[in-house]
Amino acid sequence: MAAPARYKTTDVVDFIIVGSGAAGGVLAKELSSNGFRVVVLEQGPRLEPGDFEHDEYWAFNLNALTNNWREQPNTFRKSENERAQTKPTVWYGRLVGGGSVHFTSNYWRFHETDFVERSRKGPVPGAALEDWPIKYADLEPYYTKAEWELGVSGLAGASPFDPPRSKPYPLPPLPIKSSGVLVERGAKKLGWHAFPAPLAILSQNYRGRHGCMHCGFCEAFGCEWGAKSSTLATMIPIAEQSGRCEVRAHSYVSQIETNGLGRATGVVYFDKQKREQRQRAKAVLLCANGAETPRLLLMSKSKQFPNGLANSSGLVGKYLMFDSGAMSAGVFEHPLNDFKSVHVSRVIHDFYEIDPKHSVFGGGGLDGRFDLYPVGFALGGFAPDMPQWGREFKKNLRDFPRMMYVLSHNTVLAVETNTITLDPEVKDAWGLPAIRVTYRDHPETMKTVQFMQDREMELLDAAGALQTWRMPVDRDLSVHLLGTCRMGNERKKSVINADHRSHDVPNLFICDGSSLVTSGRNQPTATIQALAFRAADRISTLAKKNEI
Amino acid sequence: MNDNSRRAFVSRLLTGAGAAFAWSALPHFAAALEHAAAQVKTGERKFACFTSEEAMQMEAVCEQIIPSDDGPGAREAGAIYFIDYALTQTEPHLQPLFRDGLKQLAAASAPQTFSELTSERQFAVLKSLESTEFFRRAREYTILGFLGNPRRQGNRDELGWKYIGFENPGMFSPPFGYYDAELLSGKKSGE
Repeated sequence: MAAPARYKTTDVVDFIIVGSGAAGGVLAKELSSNGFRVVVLEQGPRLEPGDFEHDEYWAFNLNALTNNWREQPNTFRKSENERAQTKPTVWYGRLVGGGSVHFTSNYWRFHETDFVERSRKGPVPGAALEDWPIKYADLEPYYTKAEWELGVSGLAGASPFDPPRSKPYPLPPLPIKSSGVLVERGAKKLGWHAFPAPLAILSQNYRGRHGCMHCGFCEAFGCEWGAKSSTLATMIPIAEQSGRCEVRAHSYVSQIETNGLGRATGVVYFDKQKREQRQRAKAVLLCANGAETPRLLLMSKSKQFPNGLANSSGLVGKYLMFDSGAMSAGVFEHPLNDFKSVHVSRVIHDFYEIDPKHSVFGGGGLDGRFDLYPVGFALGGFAPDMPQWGREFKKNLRDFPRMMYVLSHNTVLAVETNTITLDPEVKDAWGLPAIRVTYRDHPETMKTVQFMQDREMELLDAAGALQTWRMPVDRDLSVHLLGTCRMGNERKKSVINADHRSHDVPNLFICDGSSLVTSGRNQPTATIQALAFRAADRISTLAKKNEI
Repeated sequence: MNDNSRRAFVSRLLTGAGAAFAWSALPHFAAALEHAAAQVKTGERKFACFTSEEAMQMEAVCEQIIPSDDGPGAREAGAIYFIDYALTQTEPHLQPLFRDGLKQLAAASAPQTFSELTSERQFAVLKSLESTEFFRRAREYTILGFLGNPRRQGNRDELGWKYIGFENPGMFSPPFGYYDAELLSGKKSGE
């Protein structure tokens, strides 16, 4: 086992990877294992499993694992005519391992339809709906690779709606929880099909890692057992053991530099002491997420690239897709104690493709889950018309163990006016322009959300809930940040090609949520990681043929 | 098992790949816990941010948000200690918001102080302040002080967690709840 590499900033390494999350971690492991010299630059700190607390204040108020809006403000507006107001809008993992450290670990593959919805269903007025330049079959081997390399638990063939797969899951499903039993009970009554949730959490020990101990702190927390298959627990140690990869934490990239030939030469970044540093490389890979990636391209404008780097199409930052979905709550007769173990144990995909007779675009999936820890439950678990403080409120808190939430995750249509841009006035603590979000969901997306929330309520009733309520569906804070550097064959209609190479800068590659052409049903991590494994193959091949 | 002994237990258990991960946070964490335990023991009402008068008014607000009627509330759980801790240790930038808020509260309660009002009057005063940033934060931080991790000096003796039926031993094993236990025991598998 080699020691992690240490490079000088003056060394011209083979690849700089900006971001160490779901995609960046995979690319670091794959490229360094393939013999390339890699520097990974991560904005956030490096935490170890021993640092992970069961402390809501730490995770949600102090933003221990995520971007802190006091230092990095966002601004938000619903349309281009408004002046954007400062408010938290994009929320992402900001540490080595990125969002893969704190995600709930739902690991749904996209289905065949997600890649070809434009040709199957035709255009939708007001939406920028396109087919992908690749199909499900192109990505299938890489979904399988991701599941086996990272460690994913599930039951192949359990959902009648699943796309074809070449191999079963490497690990059996996690144990069923009370919420799972209730979801099965409701689904059975309604003629739907509940199946064990595919999760990037180890149900048993796997490749030297510990299986899940059911502590209950998955969503928004890091796993102190290393049982969650984050890139921090899986890919990054392997990358470092190759002896060719250096992961530099506290490295906040502000610009990609280019030369007179229009090629990237390296990046400028702030180190922990906020000193400016430069790292040189033969090629740059952006894996910084669907908000930070377009922001960095827009910040890298120059005489040669006046609209921002890789932006001759004008599409960098456009087609932003949020994590849209609904949430409903049910109180049951007996305690579920759903705060124990992983958050989801049963999923329903009967509405992955909504029957055309309903005239609702796309579709979605449902899951019964634990979604709110004690503080979160008290702060935001009740419907707005229920008491929010005082005697009655306190009494309702006692329903905590008897609660189940049903969530839906659905298609979000890309809209040209939903964007990430640079705020013209607001700056972050490093003096860089704040992320400005302009966002309003397409009316068809809101119809899909409404349709899915009706199914949530049906499921809760069928499962025997004594009391139910709907949570509001307006979302102006998103953790899934998709579509902002879209993949495509035509350089006027996309930012990167099917090899993840930017159309404009031959040695600049982009792979993260921004690459997605459609949202699928808004469980994007499996697809982001399958794309990363595939991109690693494509990029390695090009590099070995000296074609970068 | 509290968080501290859980950690010791967890670190003993980890072998092989797991042992390679450093438990770097442990000494710092243990010290924080000892400090909190010592403070609870002495029973002294000492505040780092609030004056004792401010603490009295703030605690009366906490008590309206999570009253002590059908079981321990914000007062018994020491929510005020969490707020005092947060305003000095982790988020001093919130001090002006709370200070200004307490002034608004005093103005709305005059000529008496908020804590001197009857419970009904206190409720009415807070209702009138419900849309203010101060009330939003007061509610949030009272809830954090009632239901947050006790390492932050609120939720004493896990009173809030016990009240709502939450536990944090650091690991569980199935069955987790009534319905999966029922399924496992084979009594009933759906209807």
